[in-house]
Amino acid sequence: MLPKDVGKVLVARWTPQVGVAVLLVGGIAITYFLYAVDPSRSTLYLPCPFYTLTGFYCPGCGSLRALHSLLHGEVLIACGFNFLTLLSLPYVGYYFLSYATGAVRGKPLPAFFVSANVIWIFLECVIIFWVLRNMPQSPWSWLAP
Amino acid sequence: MNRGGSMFGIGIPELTILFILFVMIAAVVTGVVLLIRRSTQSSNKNPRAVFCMQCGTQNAGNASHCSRCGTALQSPQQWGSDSSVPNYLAQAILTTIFCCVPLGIPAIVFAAQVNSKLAAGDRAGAVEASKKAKLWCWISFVAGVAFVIIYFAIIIIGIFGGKQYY
Repeated sequence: MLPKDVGKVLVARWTPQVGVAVLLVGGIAITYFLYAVDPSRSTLYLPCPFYTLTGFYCPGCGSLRALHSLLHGEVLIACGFNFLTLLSLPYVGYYFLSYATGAVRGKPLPAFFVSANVIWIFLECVIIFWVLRNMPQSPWSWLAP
Repeated sequence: MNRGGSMFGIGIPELTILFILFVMIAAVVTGVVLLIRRSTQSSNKNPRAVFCMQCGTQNAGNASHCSRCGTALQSPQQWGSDSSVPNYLAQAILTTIFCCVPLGIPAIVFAAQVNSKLAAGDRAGAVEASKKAKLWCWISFVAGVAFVIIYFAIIIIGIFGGKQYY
């Protein structure tokens, strides 16, 4: 039988260390699954909601295939599936590294302040990438997964 | 298939048209992003003004202490390097790429707003934008999860009740 305040106990026990442990275990499991199961052949993966509903690619389409190729060391093929994912991977990776070191050592790695201009330019790149990868013409269809 | 005198397997005139089209798309997107950016600009009209960290009162840029509560003021430059207001940019990128729902785009907009307001010294506005960024990350994430649930529901209905449709 569960205690009545199971939610409160769970919240109270949720320390940053637990968060890092969950992230680490989840990250390793997902990485292994991505390495072992090819997203372009398996039906175990979910389809993209945007692609399923509209028939157009979204900015994230092909990101799982890109990560699968990257894990197998095929960087160029990964770029062909989703260039944007590879571009933003270092930032996202550093963010979680900084979060993890902050939780373990109590002092995070120095978080670099991304200027607002850079974020706006990144947003513009995302939207242009999104439009171009839906073009059927030759040089831009390379951006499609 | 590379014909003589052509790149990417297509001729030079087509490439010119494609390039013009690319410039047009880039111009339209830039215009839209600039419009969004202007409409979400910081309410801090005087960029030299400094907001008090304790009570939020707006002080003149050269003031060393808050006029209302007397707390020592920090310059906007000090705030600009302060990471204590999270902008959720990493989460916004993750939901944009992996939840495959374009709802992550507003989250990126608000992440940019957090940093522009921090750089302008508007800490209260940055906290506000930070909350909105977090909210949109969650909206995007929940929409992705909802799609997964609906997707599996449709598959299960298809398995158990699909035969009459054939």
